[in-house]
Amino acid sequence: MHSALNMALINLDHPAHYLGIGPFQVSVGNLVIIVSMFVIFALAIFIPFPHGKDE
Amino acid sequence: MVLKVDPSKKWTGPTRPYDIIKEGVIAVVVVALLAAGLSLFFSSPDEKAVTLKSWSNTNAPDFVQTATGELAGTTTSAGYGAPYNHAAKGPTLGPLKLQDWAGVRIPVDPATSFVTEPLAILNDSSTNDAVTAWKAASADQQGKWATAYADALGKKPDAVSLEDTANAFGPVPTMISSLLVMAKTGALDGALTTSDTPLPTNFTKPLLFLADSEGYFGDLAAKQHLGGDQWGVMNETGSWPGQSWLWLFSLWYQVEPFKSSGNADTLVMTLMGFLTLCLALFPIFPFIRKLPYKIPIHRLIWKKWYARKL
Amino acid sequence: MSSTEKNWTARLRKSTLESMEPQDLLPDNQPAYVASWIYVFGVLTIASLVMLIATGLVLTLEGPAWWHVSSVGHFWNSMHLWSVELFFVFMVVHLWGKFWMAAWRGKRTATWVTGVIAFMASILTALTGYLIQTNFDSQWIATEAKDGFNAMGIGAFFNTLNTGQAILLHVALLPLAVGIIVVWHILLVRRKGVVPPIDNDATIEGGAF
Repeated sequence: MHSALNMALINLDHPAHYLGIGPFQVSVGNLVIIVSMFVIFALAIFIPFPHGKDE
Repeated sequence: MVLKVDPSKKWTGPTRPYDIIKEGVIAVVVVALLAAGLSLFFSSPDEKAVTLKSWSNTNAPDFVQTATGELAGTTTSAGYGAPYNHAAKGPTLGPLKLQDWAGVRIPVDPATSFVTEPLAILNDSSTNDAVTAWKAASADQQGKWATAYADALGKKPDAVSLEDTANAFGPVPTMISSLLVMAKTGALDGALTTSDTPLPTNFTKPLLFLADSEGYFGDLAAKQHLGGDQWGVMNETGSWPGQSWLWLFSLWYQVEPFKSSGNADTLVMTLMGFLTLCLALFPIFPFIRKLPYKIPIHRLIWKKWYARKL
Repeated sequence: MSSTEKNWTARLRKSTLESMEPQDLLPDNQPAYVASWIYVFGVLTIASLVMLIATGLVLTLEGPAWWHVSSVGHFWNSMHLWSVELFFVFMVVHLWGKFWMAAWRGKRTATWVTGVIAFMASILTALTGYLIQTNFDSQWIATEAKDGFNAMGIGAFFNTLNTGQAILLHVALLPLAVGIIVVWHILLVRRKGVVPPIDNDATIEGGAF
């Protein structure tokens, strides 16, 4: 990795952490993405949509 | 006014104002800002590519053992079968020999492609004599020499060359030592990528050779958690997220009967193809098409609608 | 068969231009039930695709190795990568939403099927993107993925180890295929309209909305 080229505020260029039970293993990076999909889905369903004027 | 909701008919009931173009423009701006923010915060991974040069300089004994294995026909690519060679029939799906039927369309004979052809470029008489002796020998004799040298190297895992005290190795040590020199200088990388055209775009040969290595390429991947048995299909180098959408594809390789099957690739690819077809056929799938009715998440989505229904 | 039914041009016009009102294609109102945040994930997926094409085009300007040696190139690579992650997140949320709405009702099966095809074509396009990073990740993915494709007899034609082939597929044929399927998907949605609430025999009092 060219550290000079990788100008990130948060450095992810280090070995990943893995979580898992038995045969199930997932990197923290992937888990964040997967969990965020469920969270976004739940928010999309529960947060009230701004109610415009009906015609 | 009483309406009947028929999903196949055009909607004639109450409407609300909407601006499809404005929505699209706002969406692009939102995604652009999100992507820019994520890029500034997290950047993206770029683990430097490896070469036969970096391999031979980092772990010369592993290179020597693998190269000898190519001559002995014991490496993965030497015993692969189609589309590279005729060494095996490859994985099958019952009577379907899909891999074999596709034919040898990308010919790679490792002993020739990885060792003798590149060595022919060298302008060195002892190497040239060794290659001539190798080519003149019978396949049986070649196998005996290479296997004897491979076995001897196996007993001395740190060695990069061995004396032929029992006169059993034939030209193999000379060939392998010359190949190691070529690899260390980077000449082998060039030789393997330019055998078809002087301007390389195809890395089939060096990548197959690298993938035969057990002590370097596979080791680097295992350290990055990229191995097939480590859910590696969906993982990325460093701590970045990878192709998480491949989670189901990746899952099968971790469980039986796929985990220990020699046909795992065919079985998993076929299963995923079947499951994809099922996903496409959800609208006519007896049980699944009724699930949205049984688990009424739609009551939340359309809660205002249902709340005002009489 | 009348003469217009035999006429290729007339048939094309009927099945395209005349199958849709301008108001269907570019609507300025929607049925009153289209009022949930779940409805924005289709357009967010399209917006991510627009970003993918835009950032991908920037990356083509100076060739495949540019992003390894330039911080500007690396930034656009990051934009491209995060657009991919957003693209799939939005697409999966969109898929879940459409599943729980049983959005295939009312002769919308083709809309669902084109969505699934778009998902699969996107996965293949993403894979070729990973193959052309020209770094260790792409090398490893190429050597692993080849076994899967070879096992199905596909590897003899689509060789993941052939970086040149993967580059051309990723910047030409595959995004074109994804684009065509997505446009088709959107046209089906616009033609059929947004699926109404699950309530086939429901009667509602008009004006409540």
